[in-house]
Amino acid sequence: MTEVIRQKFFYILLLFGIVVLCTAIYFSQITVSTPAEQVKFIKDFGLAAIMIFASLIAIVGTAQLLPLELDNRTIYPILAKPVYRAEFLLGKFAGMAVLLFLTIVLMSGIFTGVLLYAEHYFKQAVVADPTVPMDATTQDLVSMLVRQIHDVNLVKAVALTYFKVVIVCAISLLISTFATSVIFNVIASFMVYICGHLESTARHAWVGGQQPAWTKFMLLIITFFVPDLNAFDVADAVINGQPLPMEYMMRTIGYGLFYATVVLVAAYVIFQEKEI
Amino acid sequence: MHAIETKDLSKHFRISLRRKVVGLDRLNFIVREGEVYGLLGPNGSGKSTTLKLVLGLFQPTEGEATIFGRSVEEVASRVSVGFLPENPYFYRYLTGEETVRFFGRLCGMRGRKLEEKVSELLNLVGLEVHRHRRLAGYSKGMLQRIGLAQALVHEPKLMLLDEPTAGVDPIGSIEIRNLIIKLKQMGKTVLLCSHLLDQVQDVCDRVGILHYGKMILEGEVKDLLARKDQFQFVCEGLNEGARGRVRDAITQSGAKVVTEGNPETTLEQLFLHSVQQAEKDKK
Repeated sequence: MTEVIRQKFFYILLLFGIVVLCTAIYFSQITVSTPAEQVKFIKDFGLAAIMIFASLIAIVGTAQLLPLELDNRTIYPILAKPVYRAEFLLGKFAGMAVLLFLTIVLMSGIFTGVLLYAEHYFKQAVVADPTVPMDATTQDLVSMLVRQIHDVNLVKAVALTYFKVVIVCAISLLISTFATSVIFNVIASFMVYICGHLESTARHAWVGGQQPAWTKFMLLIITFFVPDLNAFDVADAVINGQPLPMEYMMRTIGYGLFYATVVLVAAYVIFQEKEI
Repeated sequence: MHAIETKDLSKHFRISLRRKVVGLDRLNFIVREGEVYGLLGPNGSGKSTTLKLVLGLFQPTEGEATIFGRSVEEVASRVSVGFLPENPYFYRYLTGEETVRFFGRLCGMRGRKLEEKVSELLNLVGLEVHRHRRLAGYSKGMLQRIGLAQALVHEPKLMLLDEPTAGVDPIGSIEIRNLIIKLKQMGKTVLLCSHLLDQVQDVCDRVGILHYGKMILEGEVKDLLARKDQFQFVCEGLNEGARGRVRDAITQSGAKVVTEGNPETTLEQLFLHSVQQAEKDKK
């Protein structure tokens, strides 16, 4: 964890993420007109910013961990101690998972601040004179804005984002056990990330479509080996006020943890045999 | 029980589908407990490969190796081993103190015992005053010494040192050599890989010479270096007349004077003496 924290890219990405979050109100004003739409925009913008910057930190940060240890030969004195390779690998993963957790908590804190400021800002815009009692329409609008901003589903969406980046982190670590360069690892991780968002489409095409054998084979590979990252993207549902049942949350988090565990076991099997 | 024992230890490296390179070829050797053993050889002779096999970083193609009777394939065998890699690289953002503490924690050490050990080792390697400096600002000699400190943190019985004086200036080199002698006095077994023969000669009890992955010569340093068919006196205050009489006596006994003259100091001794003298004069 300390390793990534001391690297410049981490601060650049984190700072950029924070700046993007803070500018959400400004962008909402120039994009949409009504307060209700503006709140929706801020929520969408904020959730997307957290997801994108956490994913970038997960991929770029994890991709460097093992290759740097090997290139700098810092791995030798560590594995020369009574340390199992599984411990080493798990330590790297756990450090990154904790760092991602802290990053998401920090960005979520700033996002909350932005939403609370938006609530105050829009209330002032809607209620012209606070000393005069509000009419029914204004009251409805204000309570709708408050409901939208104090939405518990936002926390659920951020929680799922965390488990999504944990999967991405595990995949990047797996690739780094056999990849020969950091660049290759970053590109390969991004490809898996993109395929992960197309997994549900590929699954439906594989189950129902009438494709040529080669296409069917590729769809099969994506369906079975690539995680369904779309399952963790619930921003649209949250913004549109759709419910996020606990059962869906548990099932998705369970799927994420299971997938990450399988990927880590595969990473261990490869790393155990690797000659250092 | 020997500190290290290898039986037909071999390592082949595949460089393409059909081609293999022999890194180590059926190596059999032992390192006895309490001795300093020098593994010598030119670059690419198999010294580092041997160390990596003994540390379990490589899988042998054939054969086996044990540390104090325990197979090197067991992670627990490394409880008794401290390793100083060639040109050691540690996390440059950590300070000297943090580095030793980090490696202590890896070995399961915690709390007061660890803190005491960190201070003791920084003292031993002469880095007490630099304990709060980041390794990025350390010289090569200081890095080697912090490397020794981390290798010793869990009180191993066996030390594996890979080119411990590589790239270090003569003074740093002598300090490291003195540390190795100190390790022997502490009862540690040391396996030292080097191609700096003078240093090995000074500190090792036994040496083995590797070439193309094979042990080509092995034995006690004294036995290997002694010319048993020759004998030398080193005298002080012997004038020209006395020298002539000694020459006559040698010739009369049927022996032959092979060389005579003033014994030479080593360049290392000369360098050390000059630097020490300059430091005294400065004060």
